[in-house]
Amino acid sequence: MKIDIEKLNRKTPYPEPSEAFFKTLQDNVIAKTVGEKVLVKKEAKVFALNFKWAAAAAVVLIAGITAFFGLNDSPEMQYAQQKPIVDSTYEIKEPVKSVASHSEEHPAQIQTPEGQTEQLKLHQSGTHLSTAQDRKEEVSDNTDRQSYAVENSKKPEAEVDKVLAAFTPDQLKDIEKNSEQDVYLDLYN
Amino acid sequence: MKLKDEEIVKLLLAPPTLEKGLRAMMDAYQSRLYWHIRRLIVDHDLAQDVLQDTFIKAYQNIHQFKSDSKLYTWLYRIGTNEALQQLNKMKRMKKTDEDAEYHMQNLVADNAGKDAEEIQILLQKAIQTLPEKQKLVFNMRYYDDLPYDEISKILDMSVGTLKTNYHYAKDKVEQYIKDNYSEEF
Repeated sequence: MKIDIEKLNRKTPYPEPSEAFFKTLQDNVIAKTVGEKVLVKKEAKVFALNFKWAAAAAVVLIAGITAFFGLNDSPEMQYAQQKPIVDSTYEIKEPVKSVASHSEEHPAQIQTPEGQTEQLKLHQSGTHLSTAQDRKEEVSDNTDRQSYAVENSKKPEAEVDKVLAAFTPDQLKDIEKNSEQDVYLDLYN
Repeated sequence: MKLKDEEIVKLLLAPPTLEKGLRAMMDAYQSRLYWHIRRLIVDHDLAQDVLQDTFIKAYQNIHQFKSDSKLYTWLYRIGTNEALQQLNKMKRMKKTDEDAEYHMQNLVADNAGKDAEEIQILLQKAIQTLPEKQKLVFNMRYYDDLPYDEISKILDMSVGTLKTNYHYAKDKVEQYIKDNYSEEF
């Protein structure tokens, strides 16, 4: 069988598009070309952000947030910000004496006619004197405490010596024989 | 009233008459371009998108249009390039060329009208088996009845090459119809 396509009806098998199709197409094209131009004028100005700057800004932002929240939470920083731990039982409280109390005490000690002028001088240099006196009192307080502690430790020994002196050597031997060694005795020495 | 190509171009180049020029251009060539694109792509909706893009590109590049060539030749060129881009997209979605060819042939059958002649459907299926260049030449010569020198301008091919391509295409199409006509009918 010989087929000659030149003799065939040159029609396509697809149905014809409607008139509305071409009208819609034209409207779409106008909207995307001439119509879009008008829309562009109404739109707010858009700043083109360079990718490099955007990336740099993002890095800075992340670093900032990390520094703000991350460093405060690190154990090193928390440790550094902590106050030194002081055991309250060993804390030595310094005696506090007000400047006023000093100024009351000193005028009474100075009873000379020139006392008033000296008193004035003392008042004028009150703060300097009071600090010096405070230091002296601190030193004297410390020595008092030490001597009191030494005296207290010596007192029971002296009393024991007195009691022992009252006994004769024979009585002491008897007591030594009758007494049992106290296991807690060392605690009192 | 149909405007001449020169008048359409004049309207398109002046901003106050831009819309009028666009509408005149579409009125003059929309039907011819639609069928040219439709025969290549087959699908109606895709053909509509491609035709729309063709007119938009023509509007955007109207300043590059040289008056020494005809407006419809220039529009055909844009439309052909857009259609080929769309075809390549469709091909990329298929694994092999055979799959793409089979898909296009099925599209022809699906898009054919109820009153379509069987030989017309077979002819369209045969065209889908042709290589790209032969397909373009065959469609422009057979359906649009364009002279070879115009096709030469549209496709940037010599008239001799076009004649050879058309001759080969015609032989293949006739052979396809001959082979399949007895099977189907």
